[in-house]
Amino acid sequence: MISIFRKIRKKFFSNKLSSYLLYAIGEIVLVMIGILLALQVNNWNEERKQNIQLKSILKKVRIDLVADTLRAKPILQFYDSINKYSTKVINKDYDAKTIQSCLLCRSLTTLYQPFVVQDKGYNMLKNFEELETRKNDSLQNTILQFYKQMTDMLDQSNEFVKSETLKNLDYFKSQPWFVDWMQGRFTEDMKDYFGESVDYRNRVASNFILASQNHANFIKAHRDNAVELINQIDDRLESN
Amino acid sequence: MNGFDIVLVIAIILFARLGVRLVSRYIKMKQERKDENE
Repeated sequence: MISIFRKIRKKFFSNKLSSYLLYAIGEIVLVMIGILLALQVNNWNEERKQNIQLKSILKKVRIDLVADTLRAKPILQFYDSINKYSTKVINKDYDAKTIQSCLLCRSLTTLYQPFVVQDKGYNMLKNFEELETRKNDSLQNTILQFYKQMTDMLDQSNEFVKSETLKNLDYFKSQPWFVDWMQGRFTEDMKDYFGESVDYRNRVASNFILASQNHANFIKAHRDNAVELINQIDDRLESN
Repeated sequence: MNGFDIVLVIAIILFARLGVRLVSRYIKMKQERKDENE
């Protein structure tokens, strides 16, 4: 059997055209290997460049998240202090006589602090994800989901609280004591309104729910998630 | 010039080299055959 194969091989190699074809196939295979190698090296290089780019975007996202957590702190403190006085007004701790002692109580429904999410890094990551669909990065997805949810929620909340605050301010504007209120004076009408009226208590209660509870809770949730994400990004940056 | 352009240049060079080698070897083979027949 082996001898038969040997004979065939000998015959084949003795033929000039066959040996030429064999040589040609060998050359073509070598060229293919060369091109595949070049492609592979190119892929590795592209991946390396993408990793560097992703790393710099993650650093930017981290900076944004740190800025958000820093910005959230004074806003939450502000709403905490508002809460304290709102609860007192809702619980009728003040009346027409004592309301003058609480300076902040008459501005509870007209104070508002928006929370604007820093989204430069998020936009960079979104563009990066649209360009590079090569792999499913869990951290990348977590960040994108987090921003998508939180920015929508916070933008809506900002708009909602802002419109409520402006409505309250418009109502105050229609009152005869508006200029006194604006200049920090306390008239008898104001004492009655802020200390005794059901309307003001209702407005404070509404503001308490919308601003101090919902809006502040959204900011708190954003801050807590941001801290969690910062830790995850730190882990990723250290591991790379 | 990005990475893919470089790969393309390498591919063109390799294919050109392949063409030259195949043609020159073919001409050589033909010449050898001619010599043998003579």
